Amino acid sequence: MFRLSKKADEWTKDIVGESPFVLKLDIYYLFLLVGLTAKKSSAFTDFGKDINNSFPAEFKAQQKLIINFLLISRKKLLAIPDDDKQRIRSELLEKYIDPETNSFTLEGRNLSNEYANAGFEILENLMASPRDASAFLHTCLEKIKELEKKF
Amino acid sequence: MKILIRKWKSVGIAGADQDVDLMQTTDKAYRIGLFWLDSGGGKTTTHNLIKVCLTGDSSMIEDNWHKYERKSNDEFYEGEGRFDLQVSFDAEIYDFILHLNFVDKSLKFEVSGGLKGHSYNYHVPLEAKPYLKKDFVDLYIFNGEFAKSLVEEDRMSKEAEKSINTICQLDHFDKIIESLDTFFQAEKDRSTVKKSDKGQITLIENKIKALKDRKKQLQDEVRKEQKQIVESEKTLEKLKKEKNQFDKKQTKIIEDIKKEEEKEKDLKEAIENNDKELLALLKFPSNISKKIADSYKIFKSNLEKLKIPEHSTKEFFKDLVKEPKCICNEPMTKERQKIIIENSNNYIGSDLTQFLNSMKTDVQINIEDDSGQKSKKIEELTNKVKENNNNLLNTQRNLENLRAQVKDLTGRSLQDIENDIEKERNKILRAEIPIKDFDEMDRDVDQKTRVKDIKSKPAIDALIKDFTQQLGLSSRLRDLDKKIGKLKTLLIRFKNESGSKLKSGLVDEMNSRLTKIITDDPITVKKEGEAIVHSGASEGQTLTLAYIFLSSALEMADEVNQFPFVVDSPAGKIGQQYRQNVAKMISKFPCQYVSLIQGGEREWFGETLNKHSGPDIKVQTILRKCDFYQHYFDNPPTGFVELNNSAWVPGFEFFSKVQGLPEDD
Repeated sequence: MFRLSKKADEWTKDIVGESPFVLKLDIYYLFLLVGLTAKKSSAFTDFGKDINNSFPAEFKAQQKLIINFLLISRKKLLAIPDDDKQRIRSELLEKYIDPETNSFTLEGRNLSNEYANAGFEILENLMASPRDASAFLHTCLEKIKELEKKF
Repeated sequence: MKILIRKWKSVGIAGADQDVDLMQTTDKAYRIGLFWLDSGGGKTTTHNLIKVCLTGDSSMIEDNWHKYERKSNDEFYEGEGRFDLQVSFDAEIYDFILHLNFVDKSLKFEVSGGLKGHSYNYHVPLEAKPYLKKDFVDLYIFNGEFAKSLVEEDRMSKEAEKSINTICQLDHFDKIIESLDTFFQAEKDRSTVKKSDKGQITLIENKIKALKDRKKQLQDEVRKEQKQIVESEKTLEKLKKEKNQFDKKQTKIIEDIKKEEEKEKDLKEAIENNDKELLALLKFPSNISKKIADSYKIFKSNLEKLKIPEHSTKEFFKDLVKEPKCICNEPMTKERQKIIIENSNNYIGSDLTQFLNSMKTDVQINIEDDSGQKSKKIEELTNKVKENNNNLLNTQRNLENLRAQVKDLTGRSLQDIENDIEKERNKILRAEIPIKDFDEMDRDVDQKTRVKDIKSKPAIDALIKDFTQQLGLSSRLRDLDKKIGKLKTLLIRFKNESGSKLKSGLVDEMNSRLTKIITDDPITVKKEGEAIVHSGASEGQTLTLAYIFLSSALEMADEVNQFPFVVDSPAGKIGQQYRQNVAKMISKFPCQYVSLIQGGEREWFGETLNKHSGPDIKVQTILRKCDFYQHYFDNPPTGFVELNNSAWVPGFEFFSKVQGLPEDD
């Protein structure tokens, strides 16, 4: 289950449903991108708010590339050498990919939620609770651009 | 009605005994009488006694006996007095005699004349009665003090207006109306209504009256509401003009606002579309930057180098061990089977292999084949949004300025004007409700409905009709009532219209006289509605204005009515400059004019009046018997006639040269 912390959910209440964010997962995805580019994950203590059980139709075309990006970021974070086939297999591919659903394993989704939460924390430090969806999108993009330089 | 004073005689009353004869022959009276008496000679007493005789109202004597009584130590005091007045009413001659007993303060009337002949009660011809009412007699048996009640600060008084109706006989209309009412009441009394039903009748009559009052009240309210509608419509007209002017002035700005609003809308749409496109691109993380795209390529290449996934899958080896021989053609022993199964764990399962291959394909399609185009597109869209945001900010600033200008130009916003328009429209709507209620029939109203709750005029009329029928009036009486009603309306209209025309004529006549008499400080009069207003008269001019009013009014009635204009001290309060002009006017007066004059009034007034009146004037000097005038009694002038305590001398010559007491002259 993709999930955001209650705090993050409350923080984004004014822009949910505002163009261009059709889905709540759109906002979750931006948090995830920030977290993955920053190579940071952060577990949240509350039970959080459910977003989606899996990737919806709107994300079908991109879902493998998103999973791929999580694997890349995780590999960097864990500093797995390129030639360590065993660790790549066991600590990334087999651990986070559920080939049956073409999605994340349960561990993979939990990790995704932690990256998204880290992304939220980075943005929360940067700006007040967003009132304007467009401004939020561009702030996220700016932050991602800044972070990707160190990626 | 022509009333003339023929003669009077005063004996034993305060002042000088008098014997005045205004007749030239038996049938012809002098038109003007000018009588000189000194102060204390009895001018005001005579003036009042004439009034008492004509009106029959003796209250002015009964309230002030001392004014009519000689002092008890007076050598001519007799304890009683008598005043005789002979008057003609058209062709009828009446003698009025007042017997005054100063001892027991009693007064006795004696009247001879007319059909009643001699009587000890006051009586006059019936036709003369309207002209002998006290209010009216005050007009022609005129005291200078009364001028103040005719002339108010800026207009002729109601009293004066009323007098026009009497002088010109418009009062007859009231009498006809009164007679009609009396006649109708008599007819009603003869109707079928029983006397025992009177209580019920009173009740119904009261109801009818209450309904009529309610109708009048509603009519007043409706008039008020109609006025409100007219006022609100005027205000609405003004507001609409204001709105139009506002619109004209604002057209340019409003056009600019519309343009800017369109621009704002376009920019917002553009930003929204850009954002949608941007988010769609961002959903492919590789589009963010070349570095991230490269990281995908590296990871893919890394997997390929490590042969992940391998060409063979775990499932291949699981199938292999089920064969009798190994792939190397050796028999598939248990030991071999175990080794192959253990080593198969080094291979990835077919489903993950399939996923990884698919993932690698996605990298190839979206990243390796893209050559950074999408990343550039993100850059481009970001810049575009930035630019559009800047433009949007400017547009919004412009809009704010333009909207502020709209308000500054008039001080009132369009909203303010539209609110006022709405308010006035609501006022009209509210005012229309009672008018509609008033005009429409209310079927719920019946005889039990409280009068104050009825709002419909047709309902009131219907109830009045019902109640009237209940009164048991025969249809003949109702018909008569209607006819009398119509006749009364006509009579009132005739009276009002005639009065109005008479006043217009009177105003013209007064203005013509005012120009001739008050030459130094012109006064004009005009008709305002039914009132006669003047342009302001000083104290000295007030009496003159009253003279002009009365003389003009009395002259207007000349054709049908003539009254003797008897004036006590006619010129006392008139400034010297006007005396000659007033005297000239009086000399042409068609009615009888009698004035009781004292010392100082002879100059200018007496002289001019005598000069311009020709043979129609009777001048007489009345002297009291006292030390100051004793030389005249000792040495009587021509025509000298001695009475008990006085004497009189005829003619203007003696009149003009007699020396009065110093305080008089």
